[in-house]
Amino acid sequence: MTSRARSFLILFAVLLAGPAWAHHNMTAVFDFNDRVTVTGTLTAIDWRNPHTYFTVEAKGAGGAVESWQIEGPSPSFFRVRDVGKPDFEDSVGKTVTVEISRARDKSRSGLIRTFKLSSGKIVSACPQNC
Amino acid sequence: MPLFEWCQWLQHTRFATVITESEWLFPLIEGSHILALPLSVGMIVIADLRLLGLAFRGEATGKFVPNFLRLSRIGFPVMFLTGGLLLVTQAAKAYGNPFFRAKLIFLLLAAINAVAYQKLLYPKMADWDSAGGAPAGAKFCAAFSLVVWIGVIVCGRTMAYQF
Amino acid sequence: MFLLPLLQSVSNWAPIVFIRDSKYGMPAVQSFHLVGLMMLLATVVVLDLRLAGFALRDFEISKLARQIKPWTVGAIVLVMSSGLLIFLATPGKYVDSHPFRLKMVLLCSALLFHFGVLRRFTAAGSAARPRLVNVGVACLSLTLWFGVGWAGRAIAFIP
Repeated sequence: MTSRARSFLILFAVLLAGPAWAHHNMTAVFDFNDRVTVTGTLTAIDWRNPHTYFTVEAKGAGGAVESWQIEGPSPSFFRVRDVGKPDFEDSVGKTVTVEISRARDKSRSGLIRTFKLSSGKIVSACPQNC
Repeated sequence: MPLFEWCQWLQHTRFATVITESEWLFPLIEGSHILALPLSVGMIVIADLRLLGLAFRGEATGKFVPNFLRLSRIGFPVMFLTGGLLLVTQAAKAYGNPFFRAKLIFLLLAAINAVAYQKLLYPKMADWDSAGGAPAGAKFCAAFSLVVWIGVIVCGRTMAYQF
Repeated sequence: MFLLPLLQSVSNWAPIVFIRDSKYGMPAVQSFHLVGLMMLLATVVVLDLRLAGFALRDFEISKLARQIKPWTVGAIVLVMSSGLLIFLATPGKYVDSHPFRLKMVLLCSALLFHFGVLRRFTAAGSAARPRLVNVGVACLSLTLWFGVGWAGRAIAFIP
């Protein structure tokens, strides 16, 4: 075996030896075929990199209010789509409609596909996040 | 103030928030952190490969290794500056992250290894080629360096998956 | 595009599904990609710094290039094979990404430039060329390769 092949094998083995727990792999966490539409009140925004987070409170099947934790793309992504933090802040306390790819664990969480602000403007995270 | 509370305070300062919420600054800082790797760790890896006799065998160790260690000084300030800024934006989240803690341990080990090499082996490098190659101690340092730096990179990538 | 259904079916092959949906899969493949790009860019920087005359002036350039070549090639194999796996795991995401498309254009350009043009400049006799020409070639090489890197990073941030 050449010394070059040997050294790449060493690097390879070392990489495999390290434990790696994926928690945020998009396709591992979210099911892009399980689409849910959530309509409710936007109560919280976490406008951060690399992912934004939103809390929407919607009426569940029994009439009780359920809290949905929704993840979105980065602020830069929204900027290219001509939307900024103030647009979302204007919707806080108002009704929004979000189509999400639901989390595989069936919890009340998902990844944004489209987000309809209280102003009626619809922001799409597709096709890159769909 | 306990460390965790200080991390929470740090993460919510105006300075941290400006970076966290930015549209171009955060991507610039994060991108620089990754793309300064070749100019820092990349140069160390090349020096290590020479010490282990796996590459650049046509070059004298005593001449080759110091040059590449010197080149790595271009990238490390960028790595630490960008790393520090990234940490500020997520100090509280990183605090409990086992992969971040492992990354810090690997960094500490890399630093200890580098200091040990500088003090014990660096002054003797010029003699090695006539003696038939680097001594076992230097080869151990080089191999250890490769392992811990790969560890830093893997932990750095994987910590994002723990949030 | 006709290619997308084919890519989608490849992304459903068991080995790709395992990489994508397992706990260890994507971070491991991405770590290979990072190490590969680190070594690729490191070897490129070494050659370009030497060509421009900014560093490593004690080393003969054609000898340096000859010794570095297998590591550049090995790094390219590592970064592109891991990149292919990352792509195949979710092809739809990348096909529609503008930064990804730019990255591929820059990658092709960088490869062609590196193995077609730079090769001539790192051969013996580069010292005979005007310094400005050498610096210009080195800068172009660095711009192309780091352009690939920045475009790759932009994928996560820009649609």
